[in-house]
Amino acid sequence: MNWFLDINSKLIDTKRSSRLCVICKGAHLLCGKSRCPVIVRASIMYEAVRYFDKLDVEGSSPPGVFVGRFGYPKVYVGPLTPPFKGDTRILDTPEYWFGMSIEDIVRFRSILLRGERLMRVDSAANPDSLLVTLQELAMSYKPVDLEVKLASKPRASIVLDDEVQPLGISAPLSRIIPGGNIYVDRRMEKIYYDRDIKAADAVFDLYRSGVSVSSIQKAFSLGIFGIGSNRRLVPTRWSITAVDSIISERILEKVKHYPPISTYLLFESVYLDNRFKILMMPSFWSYESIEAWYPKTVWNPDGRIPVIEGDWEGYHGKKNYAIIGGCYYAARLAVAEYLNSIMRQASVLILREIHPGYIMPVGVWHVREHVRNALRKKPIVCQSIEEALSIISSSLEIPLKVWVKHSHLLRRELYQRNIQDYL
Amino acid sequence: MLRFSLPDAKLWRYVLDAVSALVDEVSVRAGPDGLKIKALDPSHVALINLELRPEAFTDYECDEETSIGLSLPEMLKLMKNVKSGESMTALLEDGKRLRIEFVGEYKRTIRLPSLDLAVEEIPTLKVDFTVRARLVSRSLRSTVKEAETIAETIRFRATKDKLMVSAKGEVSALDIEYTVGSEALLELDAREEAEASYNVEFLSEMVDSGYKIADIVDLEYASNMPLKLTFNLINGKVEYYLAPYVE
Repeated sequence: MNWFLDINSKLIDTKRSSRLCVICKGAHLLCGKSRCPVIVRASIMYEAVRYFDKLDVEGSSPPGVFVGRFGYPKVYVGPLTPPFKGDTRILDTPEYWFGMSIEDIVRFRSILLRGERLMRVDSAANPDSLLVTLQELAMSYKPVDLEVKLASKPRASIVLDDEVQPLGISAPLSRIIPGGNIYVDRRMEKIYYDRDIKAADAVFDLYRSGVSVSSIQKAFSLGIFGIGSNRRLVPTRWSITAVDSIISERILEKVKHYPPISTYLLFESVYLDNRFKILMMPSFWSYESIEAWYPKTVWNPDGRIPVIEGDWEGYHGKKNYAIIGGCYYAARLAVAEYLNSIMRQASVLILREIHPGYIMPVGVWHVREHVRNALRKKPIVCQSIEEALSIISSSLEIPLKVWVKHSHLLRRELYQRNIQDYL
Repeated sequence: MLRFSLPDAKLWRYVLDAVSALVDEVSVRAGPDGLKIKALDPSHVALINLELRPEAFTDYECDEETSIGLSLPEMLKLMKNVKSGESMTALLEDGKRLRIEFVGEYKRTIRLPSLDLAVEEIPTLKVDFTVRARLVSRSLRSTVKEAETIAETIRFRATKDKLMVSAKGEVSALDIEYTVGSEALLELDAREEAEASYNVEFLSEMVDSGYKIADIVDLEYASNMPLKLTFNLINGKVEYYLAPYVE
């Protein structure tokens, strides 16, 4: 029962909340969350761990790979494999997950065994046979049957992260044996053998040829792209944001040549107790993303008031890393795709309220897919900023005044006059 | 036929720098009365109006109205190595390509395509400026730079003998006073007690380029109306207009 204690000790954030948990034991929801995260995680882990009580796991990798970030430049690398065979794609393809519950997402992520081997990040420039197999795995467009030999039995843990999708059980890897052919995507393979193309160019080429963002991210993390001698393993967490950032930047270069939209467009969506408002304003490109974490949500466990944080960029883009992290770039990618599809540019503001039903982080894919989904809906067309704001404020809880205080773009829209007003 | 020469190529770089504070691509209009650039920044908050009269050049030949479409980042990249004292001669070839020759320790020639840009006609601003101040550009620049570190906007207030500049950030505040007769404020003519706020980032870009062009700047504005900065050259000028921020 070691694993159970282990989970518990990881879950409890502060002394105060551990006292609460002791009194509550999941029965009364004293923490204010709508479900008990301890019970959600522990019960799922209990289900999962039964399948992995061995040194040899056979299953179809979705395909999935993971590169850790601790210990950089020596990091843990390995395949993700469930203990069964078949079409397992959904287990590591966030593009399919929109609409699922947190429990479902955590459940099928926890069924993926993460084999781990310590490697230097620059080994991607000159990969050994294990890394070559992992790279082929990351380039596969179909699940790959794998026999995963472990050096010791898996240890139960679940890794939750704001950027990376939840990760389950892990164990030190001794070797992997593919059970059949690996169906390498030809588009990826071409770039793999091209040791003169820059990684950023490779990423955008693949995106344009229709490879999904999550597949590009996997390949990127295994150092498959780039000038031969510069190839590096990239921690999964960083590769997700790098790919979102590269692709959106390239699309926006094109978008900035389109004329601005002519009215205000408002898109709304709610999922996993996250409320998104996406407001597009008739102006040249600029972008801002602001999030309000309610008390009792993941990143504001003990607060009494929502914590609001945001970041923005003007026409010329962003130079520093966004303070709100990877979700800034994930949402920017979805926004750029939309503007490119309508061949217009705009000044885009994203307001996001995170309510207590968001009991645990599920990864930044959720923001990308959520915004993509919101932008597939029909927008509310408004003729003025005032009209748009009154609709927004009717379904967000944070008062308009507070959003304006935090929003650079809103203040500019409301208070900054134009030269045309004086011509 | 368009051809112009400058004794110091650095002037051309400063002029282009001044324009690139607001836009990336610009159409330069050339005529018998010199070179002119008028452009709005993409967000339409600021405008630049630049004029170089034929006398500004050592040699200026232009027999008909023509325009050159310039990509400023591209051009400035090629001008990074320009040293003071280098002379330059620009020539528009077939109306399609700009050739610039720099002569210093050695001769260097660069060629750039003239871009086909949509020319937008921008009418003249109608503003009755009630305040006019003549300032040392370097002083205005350091004031604006300081304000930029703490706030998004900068506020001007003028009385008969004082120009007051303030910036208020979330935690800190800054007040600067220019008094008539001080070293930094050379002249002040205030017809009213005018007060107005402006985006400090734009202003900072403007004074950053402007102070390299002219030691003295004329600052004009009126209550909650646009602000105008004029940097005078010996045979030309750079004017910036900035729309106000009205809460």
